[in-house]
Amino acid sequence: MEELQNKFLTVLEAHKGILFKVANAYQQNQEERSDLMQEMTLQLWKSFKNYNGSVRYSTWIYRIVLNVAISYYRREQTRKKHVITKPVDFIHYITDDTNIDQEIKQRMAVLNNCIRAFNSIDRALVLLFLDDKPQAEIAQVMGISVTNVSTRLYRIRQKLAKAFQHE
Amino acid sequence: MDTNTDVLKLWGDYSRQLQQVIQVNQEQAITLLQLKLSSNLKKLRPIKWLGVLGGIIWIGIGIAVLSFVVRTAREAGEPINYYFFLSLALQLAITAWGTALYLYHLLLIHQVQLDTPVVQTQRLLNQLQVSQLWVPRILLLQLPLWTTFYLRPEIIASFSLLGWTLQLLTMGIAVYASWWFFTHIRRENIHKKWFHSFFGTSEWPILETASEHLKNIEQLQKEENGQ
Repeated sequence: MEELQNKFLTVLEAHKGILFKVANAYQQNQEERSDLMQEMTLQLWKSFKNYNGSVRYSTWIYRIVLNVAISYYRREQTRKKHVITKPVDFIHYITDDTNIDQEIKQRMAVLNNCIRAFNSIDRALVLLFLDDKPQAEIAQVMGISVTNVSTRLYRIRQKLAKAFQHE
Repeated sequence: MDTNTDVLKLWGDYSRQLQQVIQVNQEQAITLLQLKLSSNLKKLRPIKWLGVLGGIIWIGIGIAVLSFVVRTAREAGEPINYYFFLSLALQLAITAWGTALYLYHLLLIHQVQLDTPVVQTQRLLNQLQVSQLWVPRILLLQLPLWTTFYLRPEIIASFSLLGWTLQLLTMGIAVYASWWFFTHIRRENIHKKWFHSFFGTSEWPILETASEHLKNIEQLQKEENGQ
Protein backbone atom coordinates (compact mmCIF):
# COMPACT_ATOMS: atom_id res chain seq x y z
CA MET A 1 0.00 0.00 0.00
CA GLU A 2 2.81 2.40 0.89
CA GLU A 3 4.48 1.65 -2.44
CA LEU A 4 1.26 2.42 -4.29
CA GLN A 5 0.85 5.58 -2.26
CA ASN A 6 4.36 6.76 -3.07
CA LYS A 7 3.84 6.01 -6.74
CA PHE A 8 0.60 7.97 -6.69
CA LEU A 9 2.23 10.96 -4.99
CA THR A 10 4.99 10.92 -7.61
CA VAL A 11 2.41 10.98 -10.40
CA LEU A 12 0.47 13.71 -8.61
CA GLU A 13 3.58 15.87 -8.15
CA ALA A 14 4.47 15.46 -11.84
CA HIS A 15 1.00 16.54 -12.94
CA LYS A 16 0.13 19.00 -10.17
CA GLY A 17 -0.11 21.79 -12.73
CA ILE A 18 -3.14 20.12 -14.34
CA LEU A 19 -5.05 20.08 -11.05
CA PHE A 20 -4.10 23.67 -10.29
CA LYS A 21 -5.01 25.05 -13.70
CA VAL A 22 -8.29 23.14 -14.00
CA ALA A 23 -9.34 24.11 -10.46
CA ASN A 24 -8.46 27.72 -11.22
CA ALA A 25 -10.55 27.67 -14.39
CA TYR A 26 -13.64 26.29 -12.63
CA GLN A 27 -13.47 27.98 -9.22
CA GLN A 28 -12.48 31.57 -8.68
CA ASN A 29 -12.85 31.46 -4.91
CA GLN A 30 -9.66 30.26 -3.19
CA GLU A 31 -11.37 28.13 -0.55
CA GLU A 32 -13.59 26.43 -3.14
CA ARG A 33 -10.54 25.88 -5.32
CA SER A 34 -8.68 24.26 -2.47
CA ASP A 35 -11.64 22.03 -1.70
CA LEU A 36 -11.97 21.16 -5.37
CA MET A 37 -8.29 20.13 -5.57
CA GLN A 38 -8.75 17.92 -2.51
CA GLU A 39 -11.75 16.28 -4.15
CA MET A 40 -9.77 15.81 -7.38
CA THR A 41 -6.97 14.14 -5.45
CA LEU A 42 -9.37 11.84 -3.63
CA GLN A 43 -11.02 10.77 -6.88
CA LEU A 44 -7.63 10.27 -8.55
CA TRP A 45 -6.50 8.09 -5.64
CA LYS A 46 -9.76 6.14 -5.75
CA SER A 47 -9.22 5.32 -9.44
CA PHE A 48 -5.45 4.90 -9.24
CA LYS A 49 -5.63 1.27 -8.14
CA ASN A 50 -7.54 0.47 -11.34
CA TYR A 51 -5.31 2.46 -13.68
CA ASN A 52 -4.08 -0.03 -16.28
CA GLY A 53 -1.94 2.14 -18.52
CA SER A 54 -4.34 1.89 -21.49
CA VAL A 55 -4.24 5.69 -21.71
CA ARG A 56 -1.48 8.09 -20.82
CA TYR A 57 -1.37 9.48 -17.27
CA SER A 58 -2.22 12.95 -18.53
CA THR A 59 -5.32 11.65 -20.35
CA TRP A 60 -6.44 9.69 -17.29
CA ILE A 61 -5.83 12.65 -14.97
CA TYR A 62 -7.58 15.11 -17.25
CA ARG A 63 -10.69 12.90 -17.45
CA ILE A 64 -11.01 12.65 -13.70
CA VAL A 65 -10.17 16.23 -12.75
CA LEU A 66 -12.43 17.66 -15.46
CA ASN A 67 -15.30 15.39 -14.39
CA VAL A 68 -14.79 16.45 -10.78
CA ALA A 69 -14.57 20.15 -11.68
CA ILE A 70 -17.64 20.10 -13.95
CA SER A 71 -19.67 18.18 -11.35
CA TYR A 72 -18.51 20.33 -8.46
CA TYR A 73 -21.78 22.31 -8.47
CA ARG A 74 -23.48 19.22 -7.07
CA ARG A 75 -21.52 19.31 -3.87
CA GLU A 76 -23.86 20.34 -1.10
CA GLN A 77 -23.31 23.49 0.84
CA THR A 78 -23.31 21.43 4.01
CA ARG A 79 -20.88 18.91 2.54
CA LYS A 80 -19.08 16.66 4.93
CA LYS A 81 -15.66 18.12 5.64
CA HIS A 82 -12.70 15.82 5.51
CA VAL A 83 -10.17 15.70 8.32
CA ILE A 84 -8.21 18.45 6.60
CA THR A 85 -10.17 21.52 7.48
CA LYS A 86 -7.42 24.12 7.57
CA PRO A 87 -7.95 26.75 4.88
CA VAL A 88 -4.59 25.85 3.38
CA ASP A 89 -4.22 25.31 -0.33
CA PHE A 90 -3.75 21.63 -0.98
CA ILE A 91 -1.47 22.51 -3.86
CA HIS A 92 0.28 25.60 -2.74
CA TYR A 93 3.02 27.96 -3.69
CA ILE A 94 6.33 26.92 -2.18
CA THR A 95 7.57 30.41 -2.56
CA ASP A 96 5.09 33.19 -3.02
CA ASP A 97 3.87 33.66 -6.55
CA THR A 98 6.06 36.76 -7.08
CA ASN A 99 8.37 34.26 -8.76
CA ILE A 100 5.94 34.24 -11.63
CA ASP A 101 6.62 37.08 -14.02
CA GLN A 102 4.34 40.03 -13.17
CA GLU A 103 3.31 40.66 -16.73
CA ILE A 104 2.47 36.99 -17.21
CA LYS A 105 0.37 37.06 -14.03
CA GLN A 106 -1.58 40.11 -15.18
CA ARG A 107 -2.21 38.68 -18.64
CA MET A 108 -3.17 35.31 -17.12
CA ALA A 109 -5.78 37.04 -14.96
CA VAL A 110 -7.31 38.39 -18.17
CA LEU A 111 -7.04 35.02 -19.91
CA ASN A 112 -8.64 33.20 -16.96
CA ASN A 113 -11.62 35.56 -17.12
CA CYS A 114 -12.00 34.74 -20.82
CA ILE A 115 -11.79 31.01 -20.07
CA ARG A 116 -14.44 31.19 -17.35
CA ALA A 117 -16.87 32.78 -19.80
CA PHE A 118 -17.15 29.46 -21.65
CA ASN A 119 -19.71 26.85 -20.56
CA SER A 120 -18.34 23.96 -18.50
CA ILE A 121 -17.91 21.57 -21.41
CA ASP A 122 -16.24 24.06 -23.75
CA ARG A 123 -14.04 25.21 -20.89
CA ALA A 124 -12.64 21.69 -20.74
CA LEU A 125 -11.83 21.87 -24.45
CA VAL A 126 -10.18 25.28 -23.98
CA LEU A 127 -7.92 23.94 -21.22
CA LEU A 128 -6.89 20.94 -23.29
CA PHE A 129 -6.23 23.17 -26.31
CA LEU A 130 -4.15 25.60 -24.26
CA ASP A 131 -2.11 22.72 -22.85
CA ASP A 132 -1.30 21.92 -26.47
CA LYS A 133 -2.81 18.47 -26.36
CA PRO A 134 -3.10 16.74 -29.74
CA GLN A 135 -6.65 16.55 -31.04
CA ALA A 136 -6.60 12.76 -30.77
CA GLU A 137 -5.87 13.01 -27.05
CA ILE A 138 -8.52 15.70 -26.57
CA ALA A 139 -11.00 13.37 -28.28
CA GLN A 140 -9.97 10.57 -25.90
CA VAL A 141 -10.39 12.74 -22.82
CA MET A 142 -13.73 14.13 -23.91
CA GLY A 143 -15.18 11.02 -25.57
CA ILE A 144 -16.03 12.73 -28.84
CA SER A 145 -14.69 12.28 -32.37
CA VAL A 146 -11.54 14.01 -33.59
CA THR A 147 -13.63 15.73 -36.27
CA ASN A 148 -15.94 17.13 -33.61
CA VAL A 149 -12.94 18.29 -31.58
CA SER A 150 -11.56 20.06 -34.64
CA THR A 151 -14.86 21.81 -35.40
CA ARG A 152 -15.42 22.86 -31.82
CA LEU A 153 -11.87 24.06 -31.35
CA TYR A 154 -12.08 26.19 -34.48
CA ARG A 155 -15.05 28.06 -32.99
CA ILE A 156 -13.52 28.17 -29.52
CA ARG A 157 -10.21 29.56 -30.79
CA GLN A 158 -12.03 32.36 -32.61
CA LYS A 159 -14.13 33.20 -29.55
CA LEU A 160 -11.14 33.08 -27.22
CA ALA A 161 -9.00 35.29 -29.47
CA LYS A 162 -11.80 37.83 -29.78
CA ALA A 163 -12.44 37.87 -26.01
CA PHE A 164 -8.75 38.16 -25.16
CA GLN A 165 -8.21 41.00 -27.60
CA HIS A 166 -11.30 42.79 -26.31
CA GLU A 167 -10.14 42.57 -22.68
CA MET B 1 2.04 37.03 -33.87
CA ASP B 2 -1.67 36.17 -34.11
CA THR B 3 -3.73 36.15 -30.92
CA ASN B 4 -4.05 32.38 -30.68
CA THR B 5 -0.31 31.90 -30.91
CA ASP B 6 0.09 34.68 -28.36
CA VAL B 7 -2.38 33.01 -26.00
CA LEU B 8 -0.69 29.62 -26.39
CA LYS B 9 2.72 31.15 -25.68
CA LEU B 10 1.35 32.95 -22.61
CA TRP B 11 -0.19 29.73 -21.30
CA GLY B 12 3.01 27.79 -21.98
CA ASP B 13 5.19 30.37 -20.21
CA TYR B 14 2.80 30.46 -17.26
CA SER B 15 2.64 26.65 -17.05
CA ARG B 16 6.41 26.33 -17.01
CA GLN B 17 6.81 28.91 -14.27
CA LEU B 18 3.87 27.50 -12.33
CA GLN B 19 5.43 24.03 -12.26
CA GLN B 20 8.43 25.53 -10.44
CA VAL B 21 6.54 27.49 -7.82
CA ILE B 22 3.75 25.12 -6.76
CA GLN B 23 4.06 21.94 -4.80
CA VAL B 24 1.69 19.30 -3.49
CA ASN B 25 1.35 19.65 0.24
CA GLN B 26 2.77 16.19 0.97
CA GLU B 27 1.66 16.12 4.58
CA GLN B 28 -1.94 16.88 3.70
CA ALA B 29 -1.80 14.51 0.73
CA ILE B 30 -0.75 11.59 2.89
CA THR B 31 -3.44 12.34 5.48
CA LEU B 32 -6.00 12.56 2.70
CA LEU B 33 -4.97 9.25 1.12
CA GLN B 34 -5.08 7.51 4.46
CA LEU B 35 -8.63 8.58 5.15
CA LYS B 36 -10.89 5.59 4.83
CA LEU B 37 -12.70 6.43 1.64
CA SER B 38 -16.26 6.67 2.89
CA SER B 39 -18.76 4.39 1.33
CA ASN B 40 -20.95 6.11 -1.22
CA LEU B 41 -23.84 6.03 1.21
CA LYS B 42 -22.03 8.13 3.79
CA LYS B 43 -21.46 10.87 1.25
CA LEU B 44 -25.17 11.54 1.02
CA ARG B 45 -26.17 14.73 2.68
CA PRO B 46 -27.80 14.02 6.07
CA ILE B 47 -31.06 15.68 5.09
CA LYS B 48 -31.39 13.34 2.11
CA TRP B 49 -30.85 10.40 4.41
CA LEU B 50 -33.52 11.81 6.71
CA GLY B 51 -35.89 12.00 3.76
CA VAL B 52 -35.30 8.34 2.91
CA LEU B 53 -35.55 7.30 6.56
CA GLY B 54 -38.71 9.36 6.99
CA GLY B 55 -40.26 7.58 4.03
CA ILE B 56 -39.37 4.15 5.41
CA ILE B 57 -40.68 4.98 8.89
CA TRP B 58 -43.92 6.34 7.43
CA ILE B 59 -44.43 3.18 5.42
CA GLY B 60 -43.74 1.08 8.51
CA ILE B 61 -46.25 3.04 10.59
CA GLY B 62 -48.76 2.89 7.77
CA ILE B 63 -48.53 -0.89 7.45
CA ALA B 64 -48.92 -1.23 11.21
CA VAL B 65 -52.02 0.99 11.12
CA LEU B 66 -53.54 -1.02 8.24
CA SER B 67 -52.96 -4.28 10.11
CA PHE B 68 -54.53 -2.77 13.21
CA VAL B 69 -57.57 -1.59 11.23
CA VAL B 70 -58.11 -5.04 9.69
CA ARG B 71 -57.61 -6.88 12.99
CA THR B 72 -59.88 -4.55 14.96
CA ALA B 73 -62.63 -4.74 12.34
CA ARG B 74 -62.47 -8.55 12.31
CA GLU B 75 -62.53 -8.80 16.10
CA ALA B 76 -65.52 -6.48 16.28
CA GLY B 77 -67.22 -8.28 13.41
CA GLU B 78 -67.57 -5.03 11.56
CA PRO B 79 -66.78 -4.17 7.96
CA ILE B 80 -63.47 -2.44 7.25
CA ASN B 81 -63.71 1.21 6.41
CA TYR B 82 -62.56 0.85 2.83
CA TYR B 83 -62.21 4.59 2.27
CA PHE B 84 -59.56 4.77 4.94
CA PHE B 85 -57.99 1.43 4.06
CA LEU B 86 -57.64 2.02 0.34
CA SER B 87 -56.59 5.66 0.75
CA LEU B 88 -53.84 4.71 3.16
CA ALA B 89 -52.77 1.63 1.20
CA LEU B 90 -52.44 3.61 -2.04
CA GLN B 91 -50.67 6.43 -0.24
CA LEU B 92 -48.15 3.97 1.19
CA ALA B 93 -47.62 2.38 -2.21
CA ILE B 94 -46.91 5.80 -3.76
CA THR B 95 -44.57 6.75 -0.92
CA ALA B 96 -42.71 3.45 -1.27
CA TRP B 97 -42.34 3.96 -5.02
CA GLY B 98 -41.07 7.52 -4.59
CA THR B 99 -38.66 6.64 -1.77
CA ALA B 100 -37.20 3.65 -3.63
CA LEU B 101 -36.71 5.72 -6.78
CA TYR B 102 -35.00 8.50 -4.84
CA LEU B 103 -32.61 6.11 -3.15
CA TYR B 104 -31.88 4.32 -6.43
CA HIS B 105 -30.96 7.56 -8.19
CA LEU B 106 -28.77 8.74 -5.31
CA LEU B 107 -26.85 5.47 -5.32
CA LEU B 108 -26.46 5.50 -9.11
CA ILE B 109 -25.04 9.02 -9.06
CA HIS B 110 -22.40 8.08 -6.54
CA GLN B 111 -21.36 5.02 -8.49
CA VAL B 112 -20.58 6.85 -11.72
CA GLN B 113 -16.95 6.22 -12.71
CA LEU B 114 -15.10 9.50 -13.12
CA ASP B 115 -12.22 8.07 -15.15
CA THR B 116 -14.48 7.55 -18.18
CA PRO B 117 -14.62 10.16 -20.96
CA VAL B 118 -15.99 13.52 -19.89
CA VAL B 119 -19.00 13.78 -22.19
CA GLN B 120 -20.33 10.32 -21.33
CA THR B 121 -19.78 10.80 -17.59
CA GLN B 122 -21.38 14.23 -17.51
CA ARG B 123 -24.33 13.10 -19.59
CA LEU B 124 -25.03 10.26 -17.17
CA LEU B 125 -24.49 12.35 -14.02
CA ASN B 126 -26.66 15.19 -15.20
CA GLN B 127 -29.39 12.90 -16.56
CA LEU B 128 -29.53 11.18 -13.18
CA GLN B 129 -29.68 14.52 -11.43
CA VAL B 130 -32.54 15.79 -13.57
CA SER B 131 -34.40 12.46 -13.46
CA GLN B 132 -34.79 12.99 -9.72
CA LEU B 133 -37.67 15.22 -10.78
CA TRP B 134 -39.66 11.98 -11.06
CA VAL B 135 -39.68 11.70 -7.27
CA PRO B 136 -41.85 14.75 -6.44
CA ARG B 137 -43.99 14.00 -9.53
CA ILE B 138 -44.77 10.57 -8.11
CA LEU B 139 -45.14 11.64 -4.49
CA LEU B 140 -47.64 14.37 -5.34
CA LEU B 141 -49.94 11.83 -7.01
CA GLN B 142 -51.13 11.05 -3.47
CA LEU B 143 -52.78 14.45 -2.96
CA PRO B 144 -56.34 13.24 -3.76
CA LEU B 145 -55.97 10.43 -1.20
CA TRP B 146 -55.69 13.02 1.55
CA THR B 147 -59.25 14.10 0.72
CA THR B 148 -60.72 10.60 0.98
CA PHE B 149 -59.08 8.80 3.90
CA TYR B 150 -61.39 10.38 6.53
CA LEU B 151 -64.61 9.40 4.73
CA ARG B 152 -66.94 6.80 6.19
CA PRO B 153 -70.19 5.38 4.81
CA GLU B 154 -72.21 7.00 7.60
CA ILE B 155 -70.57 10.41 6.95
CA ILE B 156 -71.30 10.18 3.24
CA ALA B 157 -74.87 9.13 3.93
CA SER B 158 -75.40 12.20 6.07
CA PHE B 159 -73.83 14.67 3.64
CA SER B 160 -75.89 17.75 2.98
CA LEU B 161 -75.68 19.62 -0.27
CA LEU B 162 -73.04 21.84 1.30
CA GLY B 163 -71.14 18.80 2.50
CA TRP B 164 -71.17 17.25 -0.96
CA THR B 165 -70.11 20.50 -2.52
CA LEU B 166 -67.20 20.93 -0.16
CA GLN B 167 -66.11 17.32 -0.48
CA LEU B 168 -66.24 17.30 -4.28
CA LEU B 169 -64.56 20.68 -4.46
CA THR B 170 -61.71 19.54 -2.21
CA MET B 171 -61.29 16.31 -4.13
CA GLY B 172 -61.43 18.16 -7.43
CA ILE B 173 -58.76 20.64 -6.37
CA ALA B 174 -56.54 17.82 -5.10
CA VAL B 175 -56.95 15.80 -8.31
CA TYR B 176 -56.25 18.85 -10.47
CA ALA B 177 -53.22 19.85 -8.37
CA SER B 178 -51.77 16.37 -8.54
CA TRP B 179 -52.34 16.20 -12.31
CA TRP B 180 -50.88 19.70 -12.79
CA PHE B 181 -47.72 18.94 -10.82
CA PHE B 182 -47.29 15.59 -12.59
CA THR B 183 -47.39 17.25 -15.99
CA HIS B 184 -45.45 20.41 -15.09
CA ILE B 185 -42.55 19.22 -12.91
CA ARG B 186 -40.33 18.71 -15.92
CA ARG B 187 -36.89 19.71 -17.07
CA GLU B 188 -38.37 22.23 -19.51
CA ASN B 189 -39.84 24.24 -16.62
CA ILE B 190 -36.73 24.38 -14.47
CA HIS B 191 -36.20 28.05 -15.27
CA LYS B 192 -39.66 29.17 -14.20
CA LYS B 193 -40.24 31.18 -11.02
CA TRP B 194 -42.80 28.78 -9.53
CA PHE B 195 -40.32 25.92 -10.02
CA HIS B 196 -37.66 27.86 -8.15
CA SER B 197 -40.10 28.59 -5.29
CA PHE B 198 -41.27 24.99 -5.16
CA PHE B 199 -37.81 23.43 -4.98
CA GLY B 200 -36.20 26.04 -2.76
CA THR B 201 -32.75 27.53 -2.75
CA SER B 202 -30.75 24.35 -2.18
CA GLU B 203 -32.12 21.97 -4.84
CA TRP B 204 -33.10 24.41 -7.58
CA PRO B 205 -29.58 25.69 -8.50
CA ILE B 206 -28.36 22.09 -8.76
CA LEU B 207 -31.27 21.15 -11.04
CA GLU B 208 -30.82 24.24 -13.16
CA THR B 209 -27.09 23.66 -13.62
CA ALA B 210 -27.66 19.98 -14.42
CA SER B 211 -30.22 20.99 -17.03
CA GLU B 212 -27.80 23.53 -18.57
CA HIS B 213 -25.03 20.97 -18.73
CA LEU B 214 -27.35 18.48 -20.40
CA LYS B 215 -28.28 21.08 -23.01
CA ASN B 216 -24.60 21.67 -23.83
CA ILE B 217 -23.90 17.95 -23.98
CA GLU B 218 -26.92 17.30 -26.18
CA GLN B 219 -25.72 20.01 -28.54
CA LEU B 220 -22.30 18.36 -28.66
CA GLN B 221 -23.96 14.99 -29.28
CA LYS B 222 -26.04 16.45 -32.13
CA GLU B 223 -22.88 17.77 -33.75
CA GLU B 224 -21.24 14.38 -33.25
CA ASN B 225 -24.15 12.54 -34.88
CA GLY B 226 -24.48 15.07 -37.65
CA GLN B 227 -21.07 14.10 -39.01
